[in-house]
Amino acid sequence: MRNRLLGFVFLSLATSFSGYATVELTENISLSGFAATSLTHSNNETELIINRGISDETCLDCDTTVGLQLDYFNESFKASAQLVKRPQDRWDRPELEWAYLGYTIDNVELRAGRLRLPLFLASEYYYVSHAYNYARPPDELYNSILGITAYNGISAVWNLELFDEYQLSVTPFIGFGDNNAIDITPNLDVALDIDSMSGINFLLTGNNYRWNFTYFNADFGQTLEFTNAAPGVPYFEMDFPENNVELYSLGAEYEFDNLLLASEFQFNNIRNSWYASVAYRIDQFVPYIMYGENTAKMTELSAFDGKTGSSSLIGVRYDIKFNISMNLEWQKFHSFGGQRGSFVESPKERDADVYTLMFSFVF
Amino acid sequence: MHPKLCFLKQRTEILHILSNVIVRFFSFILILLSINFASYAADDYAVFTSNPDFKSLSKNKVRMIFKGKVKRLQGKQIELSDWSENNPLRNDFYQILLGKDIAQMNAYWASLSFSGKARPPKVIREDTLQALISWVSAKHSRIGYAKLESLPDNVYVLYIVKKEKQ
Repeated sequence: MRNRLLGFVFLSLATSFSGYATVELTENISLSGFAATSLTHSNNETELIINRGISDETCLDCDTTVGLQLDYFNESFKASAQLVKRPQDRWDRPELEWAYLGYTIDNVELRAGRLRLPLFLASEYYYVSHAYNYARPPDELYNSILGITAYNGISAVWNLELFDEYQLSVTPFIGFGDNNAIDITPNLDVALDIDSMSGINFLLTGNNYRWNFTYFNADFGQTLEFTNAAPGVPYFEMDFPENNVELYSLGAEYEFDNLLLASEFQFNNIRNSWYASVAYRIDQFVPYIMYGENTAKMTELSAFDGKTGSSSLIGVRYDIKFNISMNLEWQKFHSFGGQRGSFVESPKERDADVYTLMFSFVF
Repeated sequence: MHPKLCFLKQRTEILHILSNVIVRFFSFILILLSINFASYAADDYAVFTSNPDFKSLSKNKVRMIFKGKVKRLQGKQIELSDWSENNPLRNDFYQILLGKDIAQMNAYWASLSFSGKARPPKVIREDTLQALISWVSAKHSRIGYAKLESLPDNVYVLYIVKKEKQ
């Protein structure tokens, strides 16, 4: 109850800012933010989508997200912090999604601190649903590494202008030790200890398109923590100390007047996934469709090899105001071969229909 | 009067009337043309700066600048300004330059700003040309846009955004 109340106060405060865009505290410091809240319902009792847990109970806080960003700019120097109450966080325990210092020398920006992982097209604004047409980025792809979105480390962004029309950003990055706790089900948590990670991202931007390519490699330890998994077993854990994930992603987004096409793929040593989407803008309305798929590979942890899940989505976005939008969606999820697909664990019933009404805004 | 003189006088008068008609006709055409020119100019926007060193820009470059893709010009960092959300100039400018309305631009800048890729244009809260020009003039790195015809002579126009004829 206290959390709901806190949430309500926070949202009301944020809405009162909505007439403004960014709040300029001084010439060099600005405060901005984003938020989303939804009403969701599924017809399957097994929870769907990691960190969101949509089930057959009507849910008012499965997607609730609020973020505040504080930026300081001074010539070539930049400092930025972003505090986010992610869908999985309690109101009183938001997460520092980034906090970094940046310095620009010519066309290279160096960054150090807590940074966002640049894997896919929308990875770096994953929590800002106002910035993309769907209510949530496609689960198949964006949760392919358990929804981890940030890392501690350094990066360099090299911006290269090609002729007058294209820009290429090359971002190599290195991450150091980090811990992530993921609440999979009420009985299962996963503790991820990342020993080291590195990667490189290429983003080619033209007037009406973006191409994204990433290579990512991480060494990590994984502990599965079971609570009350069986009668008389209050707690036990399974430790998998030395794992490696190697991921390649390729994606593109094209805009032809009012038509927006997007598709992304990722291949890693545990699973592959992809999605494709089409959206068409008609004044303030953007109807869209999307299809996504997951495939598992045989590993020492799982013998299954093949398609594990898919989803089809039809929805519409409506821009209520320039900074407030609404989404109405129907998404059909399937799981295959007794695998979990987009569910958080293997479901008893293999299919689910999810209905979502979401409001998003930025200030 | 001598008949020859009378003829000469008549000829001068006719010439005078003719020249008057011609002058009036051309004046009329000129007025028409100027009205025509004025109506095109009223729809044009100028992207401007107070920096005499910046060279004029191509349409693609201006599009990339206002989409936050280009953050430096001739090796120097730039800062953008914008009109308030309620000012029709803002919607009109982005419609002509990028074919996008203010809501699309807002969503677009949200993706850049909340991923740390670019700083959104500074909104001039006073929403007057004077306030905009004094903000742009305070630093050589600053760039703004306004109706071309409203701009004073002491700013440098980098590009003229013209409305395509329907």
